[in-house]
Amino acid sequence: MNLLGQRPDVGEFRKRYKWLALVAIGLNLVLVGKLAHLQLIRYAENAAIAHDNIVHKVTLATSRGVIRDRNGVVLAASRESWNVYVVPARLDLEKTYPRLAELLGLGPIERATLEVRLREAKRVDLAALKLDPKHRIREIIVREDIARDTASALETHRATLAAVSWISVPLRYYPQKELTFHLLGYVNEVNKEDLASLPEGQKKELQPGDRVGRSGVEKAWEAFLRGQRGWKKVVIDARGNRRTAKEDVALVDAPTEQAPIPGRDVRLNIDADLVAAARKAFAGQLAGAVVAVEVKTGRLLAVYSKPGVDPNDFVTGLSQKQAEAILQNPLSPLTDKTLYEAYFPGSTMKPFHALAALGSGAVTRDSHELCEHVLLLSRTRFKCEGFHGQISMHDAIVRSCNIFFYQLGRKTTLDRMSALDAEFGFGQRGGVGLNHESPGLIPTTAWYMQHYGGFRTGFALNAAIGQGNTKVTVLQLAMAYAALANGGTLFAPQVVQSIETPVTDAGGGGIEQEFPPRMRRKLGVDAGNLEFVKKALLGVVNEEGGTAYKERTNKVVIAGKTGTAQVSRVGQKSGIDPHLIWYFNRDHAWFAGFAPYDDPEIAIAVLVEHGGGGGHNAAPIAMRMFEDWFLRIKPSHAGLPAAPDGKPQPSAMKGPAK
Amino acid sequence: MSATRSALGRVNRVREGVDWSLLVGVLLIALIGVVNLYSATSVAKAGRADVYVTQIYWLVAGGLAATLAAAIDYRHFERLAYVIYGGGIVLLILVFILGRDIHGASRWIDIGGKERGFRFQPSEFMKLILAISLAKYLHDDPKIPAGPGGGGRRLTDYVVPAVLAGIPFALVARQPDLGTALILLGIFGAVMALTRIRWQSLVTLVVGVSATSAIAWNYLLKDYQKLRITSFVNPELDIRGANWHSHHARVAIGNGGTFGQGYLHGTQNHYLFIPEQHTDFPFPVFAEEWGFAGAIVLIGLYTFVVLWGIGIASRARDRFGAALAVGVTAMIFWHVFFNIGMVTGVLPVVGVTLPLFSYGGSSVTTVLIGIGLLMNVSMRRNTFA
Repeated sequence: MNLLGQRPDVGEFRKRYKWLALVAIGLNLVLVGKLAHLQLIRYAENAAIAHDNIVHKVTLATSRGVIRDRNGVVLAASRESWNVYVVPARLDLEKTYPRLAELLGLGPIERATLEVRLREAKRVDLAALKLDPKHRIREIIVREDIARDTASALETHRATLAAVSWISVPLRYYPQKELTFHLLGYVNEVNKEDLASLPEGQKKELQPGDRVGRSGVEKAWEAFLRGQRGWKKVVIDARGNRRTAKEDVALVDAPTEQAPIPGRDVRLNIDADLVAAARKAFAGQLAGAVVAVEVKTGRLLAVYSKPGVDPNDFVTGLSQKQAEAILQNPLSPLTDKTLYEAYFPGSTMKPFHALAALGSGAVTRDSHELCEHVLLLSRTRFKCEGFHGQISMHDAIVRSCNIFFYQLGRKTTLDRMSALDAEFGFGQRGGVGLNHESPGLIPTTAWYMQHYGGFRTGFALNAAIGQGNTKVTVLQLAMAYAALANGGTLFAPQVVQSIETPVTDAGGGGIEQEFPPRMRRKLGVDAGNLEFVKKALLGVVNEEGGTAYKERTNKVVIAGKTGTAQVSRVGQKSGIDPHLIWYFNRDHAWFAGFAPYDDPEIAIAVLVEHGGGGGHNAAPIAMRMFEDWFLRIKPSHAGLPAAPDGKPQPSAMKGPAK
Repeated sequence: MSATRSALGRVNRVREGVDWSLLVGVLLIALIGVVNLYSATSVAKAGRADVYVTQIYWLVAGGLAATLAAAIDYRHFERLAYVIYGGGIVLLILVFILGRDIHGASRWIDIGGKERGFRFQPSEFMKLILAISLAKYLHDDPKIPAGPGGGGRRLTDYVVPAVLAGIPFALVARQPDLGTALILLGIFGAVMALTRIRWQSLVTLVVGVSATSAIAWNYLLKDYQKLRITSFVNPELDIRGANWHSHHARVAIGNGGTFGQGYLHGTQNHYLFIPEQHTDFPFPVFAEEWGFAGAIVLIGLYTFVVLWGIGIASRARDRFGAALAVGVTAMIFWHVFFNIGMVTGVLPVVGVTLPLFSYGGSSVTTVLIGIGLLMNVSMRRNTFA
């Protein structure tokens, strides 16, 4: 018994209590130390993680601008589409996946491939999650642009489709399909290179899954059309639910939101009806191009290149089969034949060379030459299509006599002709800013010295009739004929009329920026000479013996010039199907003209690739377009304002036709 | 007349004998626990929102049980120690037969039907039973040291207590309930730390255990067996992102800073980033709302109770009382250390409750009965046999 009344055998324990107490205190101090570390030393870091856990930045989508024609007809807009996503790490592959596959209507192979992919993604994500709790698990897109009834079927089975989501995304839609393919271009998804090539500071403007313009107006006006996405900070709990109560929103730190800037709408000078008329007129031909331009402004009324493809196919991505069909098509449907490709212009160049000759004084309006079908020049035979005898300049243009123009070329000299060609915009880009416009080629003596090591008079002779090395685009020809028609003013070709604020419930539709006609230059051409040439062009269509006389129309007074351009011969070894070689060796058919003759409004240039004679094959297309324009399209639009007044047509607001 | 006097005297003796410091300390922890539980569950599903009320019922029930545990002279427990032990083991075995499966482990026995009745965890009470039976063993086997400075217990002297602890350890670990098994081990270690072991035996023990485990790990065990052991030591790692749990628990604690986000304003709890916030993870809720200052106060309170428990042991009138007090105190201490260690990342995640903070009938009653036993030992230190 001791003082406390304890039994003596407790003595064995006596020395131990102190140690037990020390161990308890020591271990608790470890806890205190760890707490100090977490709460005091690393407070800022943990507070930041805690904040990021609940406050998330969600992007606010922007909308791509609508492209309309001059009358408000929608050429490119966005339609609703549904994409299906799956979070593999959360997906039940035994129960949910078969149901999903069935609802999506996947074929057996597709179904198996996708399952393998999802299983692998699930395995990888779960493993990564185990190592790093902050690992963000993936969401995989399994199907794009599903049918409307598939989406509603998914909606019906929502309760049984855990880890599956379907999200509405705007998808570009081109209601005119292949008609506007080359003009508008198309959009498709950005790739890694696009994202990597973004300049610093604009990195956030594009994200995987975004679509950007790849060609045509979609590419050239991308900056206006795209808009800028915004963001908003929201509070999301650990279960992924958005919290919107007052005290939740209070946790969001400023700035809380950046509103998205919608893409601007773009209004074109193009008249979709005239483009459709071009397509109709082109129905009997395989390939070619048309450009129609407003004579007094340089605004493009129609551009059409045949064949085209449906740009809608590009938006979601082409199938292997589609891509091969397009790439193997010998008529190169991807090429914009109005301006990317340059062609021998043939006789359509004669009016300009007549002007060059008259301007230089080498020949006069009364000059005659003797056409005996063949001209021998230093053992080379230069041929004419006909046998015209003594022929005047006027008749030489009307009947397209080559011999007259050989002589004219010889007298005028190459450089004087090419100088005037350049005045009219040949050999240079017109500045339309689309689809890598070709400058074409107007050879000079210096050019021959450089490329052929010498100059021969024969070069000038060939150049005079638009052969040899002379190459122009359909667009250049249309602009040059517009300059002839308007009395000598060369305009820049303009596709876009104005940039407009997008139409929303809040209004919009106002013009933000308008593009007035842009004159390139006043041409130094004598007015009398110009009148003389125009009269000859009138004769081409309206005088008996004129090369387009048989195709004339009595409804509109048209002036113009045909052209039949020889093409570079292709042989058996060119890689072209031997059965098609006859076609590719056929001449290009041209017609360029304007109407009405007295007060010209529009100029049209038509090229029918390998169409044969220009009079027979290209002229009728232009004639039909002129007729359509003056008799049908223009009157039907008469009630409409020429330029938008801020109120688009009702049809333009509805979006794509269903 | 004399009966009345004797009754009055007993009341007086109780009033003087009650360990008021211990009582106040425990009541403070329980109060803070309920307040915290209200915050922890206020955000969750409606079904859990009144969990704190149920917890108060359990505290009252546990208080009554504790009063009973304090009132009965502990020498009765000493006398019946092995009977109680046998009963505990039988219940543990019954768990395997009747137990119900929750999260892949059977730890509970249903009483009064699955729908209406309640369930209880025999393993919880086994901790107290182990403390009682180990105390009983040391009480009956004084092994008075041979002489000053020399002597002490040999390894063979620990075989019986090791078996006493080993049987429930194995049964509980088999459920599997690693947390409780480790607590049993901790109680065993603490109680045995009271004894004096011969230093030669201690060296043999340390060397032997490490050599055996090293050899077994490197040569005897096959890979799949090792995998079983690693996944056994940290079972939840394989089930569903234990890392995720402890990561968010640490972030929540850290987010508390010095003085906390304020009561009911802990964002990580509010937005459900703290898992199991009413059972295994109430501490992060508390630490986020009250900060380092609050956490220090809470740990201080627990430390006070533990040190007071050791103090009670040191003043106990016999070996049974002293060893029992140490066993019960060790139980409380290890629970606190494992739980807070787990949520702060000092220890791997093992499911262990925080005494009087975690929701749960078995847990609350066990702790309170333990406190009752401490009180019992404290009150009877001056009783002359």
